[in-house]
Amino acid sequence: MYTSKFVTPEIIFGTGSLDQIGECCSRLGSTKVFLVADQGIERCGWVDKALVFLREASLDHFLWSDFSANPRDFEVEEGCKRYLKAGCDAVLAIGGGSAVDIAKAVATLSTNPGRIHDYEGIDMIQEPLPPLIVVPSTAGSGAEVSQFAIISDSKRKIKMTIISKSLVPDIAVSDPLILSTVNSKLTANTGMEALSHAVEAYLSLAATDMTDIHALQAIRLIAASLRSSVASQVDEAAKIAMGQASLHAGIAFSNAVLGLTHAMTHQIGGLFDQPIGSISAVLLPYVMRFNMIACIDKYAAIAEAMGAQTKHLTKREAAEMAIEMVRELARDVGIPAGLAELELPEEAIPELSRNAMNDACFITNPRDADEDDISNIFREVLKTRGGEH
Amino acid sequence: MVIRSKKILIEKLTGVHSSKKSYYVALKNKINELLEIKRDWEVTFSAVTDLLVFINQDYEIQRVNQAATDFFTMPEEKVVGAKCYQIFYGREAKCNPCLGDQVLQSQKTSYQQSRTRYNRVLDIFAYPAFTEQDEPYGVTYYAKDVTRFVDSIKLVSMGEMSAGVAHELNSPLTAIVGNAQLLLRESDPDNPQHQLIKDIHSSGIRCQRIIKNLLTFSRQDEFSFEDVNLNDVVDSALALATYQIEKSRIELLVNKHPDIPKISGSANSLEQIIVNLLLNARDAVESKFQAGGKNGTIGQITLDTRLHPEGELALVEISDNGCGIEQDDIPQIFNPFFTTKQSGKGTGLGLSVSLGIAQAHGGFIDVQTVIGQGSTFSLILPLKKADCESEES
Repeated sequence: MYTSKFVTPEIIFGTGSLDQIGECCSRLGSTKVFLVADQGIERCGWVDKALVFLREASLDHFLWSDFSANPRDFEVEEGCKRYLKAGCDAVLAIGGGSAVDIAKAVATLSTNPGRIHDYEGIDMIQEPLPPLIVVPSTAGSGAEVSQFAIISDSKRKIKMTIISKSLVPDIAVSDPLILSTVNSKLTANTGMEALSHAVEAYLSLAATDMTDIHALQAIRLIAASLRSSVASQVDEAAKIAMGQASLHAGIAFSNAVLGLTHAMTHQIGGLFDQPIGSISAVLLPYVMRFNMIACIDKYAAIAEAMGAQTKHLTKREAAEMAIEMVRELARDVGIPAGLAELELPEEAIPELSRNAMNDACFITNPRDADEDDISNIFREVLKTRGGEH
Repeated sequence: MVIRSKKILIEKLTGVHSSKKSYYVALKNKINELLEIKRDWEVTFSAVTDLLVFINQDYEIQRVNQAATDFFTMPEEKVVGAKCYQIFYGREAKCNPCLGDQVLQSQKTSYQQSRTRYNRVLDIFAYPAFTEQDEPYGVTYYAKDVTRFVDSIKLVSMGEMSAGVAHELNSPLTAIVGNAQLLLRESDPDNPQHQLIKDIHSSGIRCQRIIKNLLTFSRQDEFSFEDVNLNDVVDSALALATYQIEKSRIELLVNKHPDIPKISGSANSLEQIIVNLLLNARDAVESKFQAGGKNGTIGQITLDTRLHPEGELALVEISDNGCGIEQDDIPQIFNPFFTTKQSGKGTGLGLSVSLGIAQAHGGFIDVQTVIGQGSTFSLILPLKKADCESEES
C-alpha cells in the first residue's frame, strides 16, 4: 500500500456553462485575461462567444492562437512574451489538449525563470502560476483536470512531460455544447484516448479507491456513449456523457498516473511533428494483453463496466472479454488496428523501447517489463496494418 | 530494496510530497524581500545629509528623509501628506512658477535656488519619476542647504561695502551731530525748533551707532585681546543700559557670581554683546506689555553671571519675561539683517554681530525661549586656560 494523494481543480460542468468563465476569471483576481484558443475553436465561433462573457465581467483580454497542434518549446516562449507584454494576470485556455498544454506551459514560464525545458520531469516548478482556467473542447485529453503538460522539444525531437501539482488548473469549465462542434474523427480519437487514460489509471500501481471510482465510471460512460457521440455531432446526451467521462478519466489518471501504453505512445508521438491520430488507442489492447496476468480481477471489472455479463464466466474469461470489448469499441469508431502504415524501421525499435522504460508512465505499469518485452509489443503493433481488425 | 525504491518513485510521481505552489508563500517571500529593500533604502536615505523629498502629481509630499524632517523641524507624519509649497515656503497656494510642474512637463531634471521658510537658501534639484509605462507620476527633490554659503558671499560683499560707506558717512555725520550739539546748547528749550534740533542730534547718534555696528561687522577679527574681568564688563554694560531699561519701567535684577576667573577677550566688544542682549530683552518686554499682556505682572529682566558647573566656562545669562520668540524664527535670529522689530527700530545686525564676537572669543550664544513667557540668552565664554596647562605641553 502506497501513501497516496488525490487532487482535483474546481470543476464546473453543464450545458452552456461557458458563460461562467468571466465570473471565474474575475473571482480569481484577474483583470486582463490571456486567452489561449486553438484555431479550430476560433473558427467555430467559440472565441467570440467567450469574449462576450469576458466583457460582461468587465475583463480586458489578449487573444493568442499562434501555436501548432503539437505545441513546441519556442511557441511557449513566444506566448509567454506576449502574456507579459500584454500585462495579463490570468490564463484562460479554450481548446483541445494542445491548447491546454501550451496554456499551462505559458503560465509556468510567466512566473518561473529560464526555459520550459528547465521544468521537465516531476515537481520542478518552484514559483506559483497565475490563475489558470481551462475549457476543454475535446472529451479526452483530461488536461483540464490533470497535473501534466506535454511540450515538444524542437531540438531533441522528443516530447517533454512536465509533472507538477502547480499545473492542475484552478477551475475546469466543461461545457458539452463545445464538444458538439468537434468532427467525428476527432471525437473518436479523443474518446478512445480518454478510455486509454481510464483503463491505464485503473490498472496503475498508484491507483487508489478514489481513482478507481473515477476510472471505472469513465470506462462505463465511454463504453455506453462513445459510439453514439461519434455517430452524431448533435447527440446532446452522448456529448454530456463524454464530457463527464473525460473529466472522470482525467481525474483518475492525473492522480493514479498511467502505464506502458502511454510510455510507448510518447515515444512514437515524439517522432512526428503532427498529431497522428490516437496512438494510445491503437496500443491499448496490445498492452492490455501483455499486462493481463498482473491484475486479472481488475480486467474482469473493466469488462463489467463496459457492459459485459460476466456472471457465468471465469475471471480469466472475463479479463479476455475486457480486451476484446476494447478492440471492438476501437473498431466501431474507426481506430486502426495497428500502426504498420507509419513504416517505422525495425532498427528504431530497441531505442524506442529503451526510451519507453525511462518514461515516467512506465513506473506505474502493473507488470514489470524489460526491453525485449516492450520491443515485442512494438513489433506486433508495427506489423499490423490499420484495417486488419 | 526494489519494492522500496518503487514505492519512493510512485509517491514522487503522484506528488505525495509536493503541493500546488501557493501564492501565500510567494507573497510572503516577496513582502519580506520588499521590506528588506525598503529598509536598505531607508537607511541610505537617512544617511544622506541633504534633503530628499518625493511628491506626487498633486504636490503632496509622499516621502522624506531624516535630513528633510530635521530641516523643517517637523515630525514625518506632519510633512507626509502636506503640500510641498506649504512645507517649503509656508505658502497656501502653489508656487508660480512651480518647479514640479516644470519637471513634469519637460520630463527633464531641473534646478533652482530659492529662499525657503526660516530664511534658508536651498539649491533644489528636481527629478521626474516615471511609471513602468513611462508616464510621469511624481517628482523627487534633492535639496542642499546653501544658506551659509550664499549668506557668506553676501556678507563679504556687504562687509566690504559697509566699510566703505561707513567711512564716507562718518565725516558728514560728525558734522551733523557736532553742529546739532552746538545748536542745542545755544537754543532755548522752549523754542519749538529745539525739539527739531534734538531729533536731528539723536538721529545722527543713531546713524553713528549703525555705522559702528557695520564696521564691527566687517572687521570682526580686529579685536585686541586682554585679560578681562567679566563682572567688570557687565558693570560697564549696565552703566550704559540701565537707564534705558528703567526708563521703560522694567525691573532689572543683577546677580553676579563673586568669583569668576579672568577671561581673555576684548572688553569693549563683550560689553557691546551684553548691551545688545539687554536692549533686546527690553524690546521683548516692551513689545509684550504694549500688546496688553500685562496681567498684573511687571516687566522684568534678570542678569546673572555664573560659572558653568562642568566645563571651564563663564556664563552671562540675560532673562526676560517678554514676548518670547516664534519657533519658526529661532533658526534665523542670528542671521544678519533678520529682525522682528518694527522697521527703523532694529537693523537686524545686533545678534549677528554679537554671535560673531562670541565666536571670535571661542564662545557662543545659547537661546531658550517660550513664546509669550520670555527668553533667556546666555553668552557663554571659555575661561582663560591656566598657565601651567600650556607649559606642560
